[in-house]
Amino acid sequence: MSFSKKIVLLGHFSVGKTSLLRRFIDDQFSEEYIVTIGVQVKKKVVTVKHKEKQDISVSFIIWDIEGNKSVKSTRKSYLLGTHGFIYVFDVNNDLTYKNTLEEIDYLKSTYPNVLVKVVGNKIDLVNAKNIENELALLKIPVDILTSAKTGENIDFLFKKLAEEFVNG
Amino acid sequence: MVNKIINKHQNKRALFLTVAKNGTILEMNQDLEWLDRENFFESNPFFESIPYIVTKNNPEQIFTCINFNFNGEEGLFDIEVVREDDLFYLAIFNFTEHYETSRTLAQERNESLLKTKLLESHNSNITLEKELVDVKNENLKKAQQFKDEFLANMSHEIRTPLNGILGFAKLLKDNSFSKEDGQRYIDAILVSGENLKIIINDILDFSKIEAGKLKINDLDFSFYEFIDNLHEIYKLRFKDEKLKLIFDVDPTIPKVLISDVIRLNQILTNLLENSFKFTKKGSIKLIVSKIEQSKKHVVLNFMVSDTGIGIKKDKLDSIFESFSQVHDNSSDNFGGTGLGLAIIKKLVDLMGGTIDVNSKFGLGTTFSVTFNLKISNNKLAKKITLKNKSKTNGSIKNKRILVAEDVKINQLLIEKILSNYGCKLTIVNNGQEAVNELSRNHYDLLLLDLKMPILDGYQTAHIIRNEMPLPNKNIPIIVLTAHAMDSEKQKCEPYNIKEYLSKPFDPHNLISKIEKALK
Repeated sequence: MSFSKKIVLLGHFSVGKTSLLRRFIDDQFSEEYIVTIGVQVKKKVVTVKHKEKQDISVSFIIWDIEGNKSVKSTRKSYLLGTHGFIYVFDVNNDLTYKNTLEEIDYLKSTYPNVLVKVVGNKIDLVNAKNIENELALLKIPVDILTSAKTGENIDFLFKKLAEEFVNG
Repeated sequence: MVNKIINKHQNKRALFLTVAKNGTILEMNQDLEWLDRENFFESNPFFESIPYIVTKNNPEQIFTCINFNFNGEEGLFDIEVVREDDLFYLAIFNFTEHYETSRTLAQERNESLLKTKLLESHNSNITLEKELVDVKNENLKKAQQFKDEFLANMSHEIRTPLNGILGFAKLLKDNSFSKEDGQRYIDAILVSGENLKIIINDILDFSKIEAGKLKINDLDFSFYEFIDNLHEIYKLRFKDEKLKLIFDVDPTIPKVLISDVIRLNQILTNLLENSFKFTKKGSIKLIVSKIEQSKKHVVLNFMVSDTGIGIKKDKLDSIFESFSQVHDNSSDNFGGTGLGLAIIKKLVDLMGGTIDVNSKFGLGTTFSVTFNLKISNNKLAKKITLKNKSKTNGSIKNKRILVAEDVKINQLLIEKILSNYGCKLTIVNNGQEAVNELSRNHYDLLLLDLKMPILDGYQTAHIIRNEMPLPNKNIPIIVLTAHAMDSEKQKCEPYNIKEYLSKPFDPHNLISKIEKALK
């Protein structure tokens, strides 16, 4: 059994959305920063166990869209038919996570039936404990900390998403 | 069918397609052989999304700047999709050239913003580092100032009694003094020497505590005898009628307790000395009360209170800190290293007790020390010797004693002390001479200095215990040391040392150690 889910990667520019996707799809990483304009769409299938039935394949169609300071200024056509948002910020750059709370509130109120995951990326560059404390102080509802560079938690993030789609 | 969308975009160069819901291409305006005519939607993840994002409710959508591989080349496309029931009309415009220009601009803009952010972050780091360096410098400056003050204070504290010793010793050398003056000079030398000893002991205790090397040695002791000894020592000092000494001890306290009685004595002596220093009239009290008692333990409170000058409220919090002196210029007026109470606090902590202070400026001070002590099952405790005993039973008379000591003044001092007790002395200057002497003659006891040239005390003891024939192989050894550290005792452990004597030593103490070693 399988089904498709459209996932959209959101967040400021240079937070590592494309790198995160590249690590997930091709298991590759490059230090070079190349700006994304518009959107590129990639696909990968993740198989998860259903709590009662047989294994289920989730076909992720992932829209990696250009970075924006605010979700509100994202082209609406990109967000059509989305099943899950992954909101990415750079743990080293406070400009990219200071408005996370408002961004998530906006997404949840505008797309109430869509799953939202908040991801702090580039964790390889900082002390995880320190940043966890700082984010907690700022009350940023981070779901997972990742590193596209090392691959830390990238597969886990999509596996978790797939499980939530399958098992609710 | 495809004309529907072509008409909308007349004269524009684009690929126009009509695709069925199942992905079959029904029509297109160019014959593109590489396109999968049966499974168009599966040819690219973007196209795969189309059936469920371009719905009957949202039948017309324009997607701009879509990155995908078109006929083997990466490009940037605008795609318009119009849905009519289960048919999808697509117009695909290749705007790669246009968007690449935008990409270059966006790349430059973002890189510039990133650089600005990086620079900000760098500057912020530099500021933080600068602040850190400032804090470190400030701390270093404070530590240096503290060290300078401490050294200046110590220097003053050490030089003062030293001045007394040397000054009065020189006066004695002149021979032009009356008998009365001579006795006063000698008393002054003794008092100065005792003060110097206290200061050096404070410094040694403090360094031992700071290094975590001070150990508490719990032993049985007779509580009332301990208090009586303390009272005996202090009552002699309260001859002035303006100042009274009151000892008030709960008579129901068990007779034999377990504690480090030497340290307990040090704590109470220090508190009493402080009271004595700062109180000119009124009273100084030591009140010992029993707070609670079980079968095995008794909680005792020792309260030392005085009617002295008291302590200002703002100084009370730091009273147990090292080098803290609560009275302005107190070391000038009253003397002291500022280590006494810090040592007391640490000793009380090490012994598992608590210490508190209450004071009213101008009215007096009360220190309260509480310990939970074990009650001993023994009815008789080890005799406590807190003060110097000067009596000897004469058992050391005619004893042959070898003294290994390299410092001439110490040789002279030992010689004078022991000659008065009728000992037969031989003095040598180092360990090698001691070994030579012992291999030739029999001695009853060896007084061995640890730090000597040629062969030091450890090497000498090693040779005696391991290479010397009987009877000198088993000669009782008393170690003389200026180090006064437990580590020295540990190093001596393999050599069956009878007694240890720290310099400066009290003559009576030397005699009693010799008597003990010869038993």
